[in-house]
Amino acid sequence: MEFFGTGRMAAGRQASGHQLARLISLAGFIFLWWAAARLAGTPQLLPAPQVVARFAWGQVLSGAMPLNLGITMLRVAAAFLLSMAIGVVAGYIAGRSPRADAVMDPWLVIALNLPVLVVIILVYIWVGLNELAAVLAVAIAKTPTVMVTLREGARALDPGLDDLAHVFRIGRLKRLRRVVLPQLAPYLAAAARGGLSITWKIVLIVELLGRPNGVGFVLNLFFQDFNVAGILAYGFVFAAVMLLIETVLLQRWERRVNDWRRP
Amino acid sequence: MTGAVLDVRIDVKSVREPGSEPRPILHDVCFSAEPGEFLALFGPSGTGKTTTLRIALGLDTDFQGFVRRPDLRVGVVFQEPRLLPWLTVADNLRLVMSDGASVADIVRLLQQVEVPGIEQRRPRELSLGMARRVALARALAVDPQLLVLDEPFASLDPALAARLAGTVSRWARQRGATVLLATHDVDQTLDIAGRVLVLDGRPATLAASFEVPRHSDPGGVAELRALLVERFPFLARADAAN
Repeated sequence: MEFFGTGRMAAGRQASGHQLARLISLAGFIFLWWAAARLAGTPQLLPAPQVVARFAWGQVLSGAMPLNLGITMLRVAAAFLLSMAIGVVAGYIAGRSPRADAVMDPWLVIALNLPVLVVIILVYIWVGLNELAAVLAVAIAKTPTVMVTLREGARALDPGLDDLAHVFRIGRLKRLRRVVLPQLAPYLAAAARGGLSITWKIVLIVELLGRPNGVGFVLNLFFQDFNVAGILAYGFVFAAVMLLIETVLLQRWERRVNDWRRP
Repeated sequence: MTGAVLDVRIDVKSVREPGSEPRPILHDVCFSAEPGEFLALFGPSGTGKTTTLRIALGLDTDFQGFVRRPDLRVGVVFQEPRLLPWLTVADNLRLVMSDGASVADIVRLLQQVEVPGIEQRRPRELSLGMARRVALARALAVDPQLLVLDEPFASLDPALAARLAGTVSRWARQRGATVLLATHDVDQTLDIAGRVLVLDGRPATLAASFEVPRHSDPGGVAELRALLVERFPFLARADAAN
């Protein structure tokens, strides 16, 4: 048998090839959309990409889109931070203590299987149609999945390193910072990424049901007016902003914390 | 306990595999270590040496018996190096050292275990032998009053292992530290230990305890070696394997 190494240069060529494939795929999507719009023939049903882009630009110039996007982003950030804080602590405790896990598990199963819509409606009824309820509803809906991820992370902590920390009497804070958190980092990153992508989708529902502003509220207005261009414009722009945050912030952070694994 | 640094009495230690009854693996293992004493623990593979060390360290409390030891600084080298892969070698040492530890301290420790100049390397850039030496440096870094070593020189070439064993022995003598060493290597150990304990049987028990004659009496050491190998043939096999 004879074989040759591909080498790093080949790997680099492969990566740029993948980028090109991505761009072609994206262009194909826009073309298909344009073709479908032409076939539909009615801009009210499916406006062409350039129509949606023009509408979005108009919304940007009028200030309506930045305002509503900003409000929604604040709600996303608040709910995200709250669900991460509670989910990380509770998940870590459940992963480290079988007894705590036994206590929390039934709650977790119920919370994971409760429809998000039910949570949102109940929180609005109990807390009122206000900002606190909006953030709380999203956090309650999202926390269980963060908790499950962190519970797995805490279960996977190396007991050998626990022993090491115990024998060498490494202080609690140092142990957390130097021993525990680096092991949990991939799980934190996964929870953050998954958390963000779900949180912003839930926030839109919360806004649609009970807030007087934000992207979800605007989408509801466009729905009542049968304004498909508006729905697509806000939908795509908001998704693009969230994807950008995920790519620029979260993926970079994830790469940084996993840097030591790279050969 | 009369001034002992470590007093261990394991009446019974059992393990339980899923779906089966508890199975005793150790019984009647009693020993103590005086300040400055160098104790070696022999035993065939899988006989419970590591378990005995874990019990002595307080890492395994699921046994019948007791362990007494005063509040001491303890250093340990586990069977595997257990370096934190996300930290550099220097940071692995800093992790256990006091905040006042200097770069010079780290450099000196690494020189002592014969791996100078690797402060900024990550554990994945080290061979197993180098990682073991860094683990030994980490154990010495806390200036331990009790040093527990679980086969720390395994997988090192015999000459280097002998040099490092000598380093540990000299270091312990200078500091008056107590050492508890689990090992297979009779020849190397009789050169440095003050007393040897032998675990044997199933479940294992403390089958023998011998004072090692002063090293100035090579005839006495050779006699003890012959006696050990005769009574415990696994020691001859382990020696040949090394």
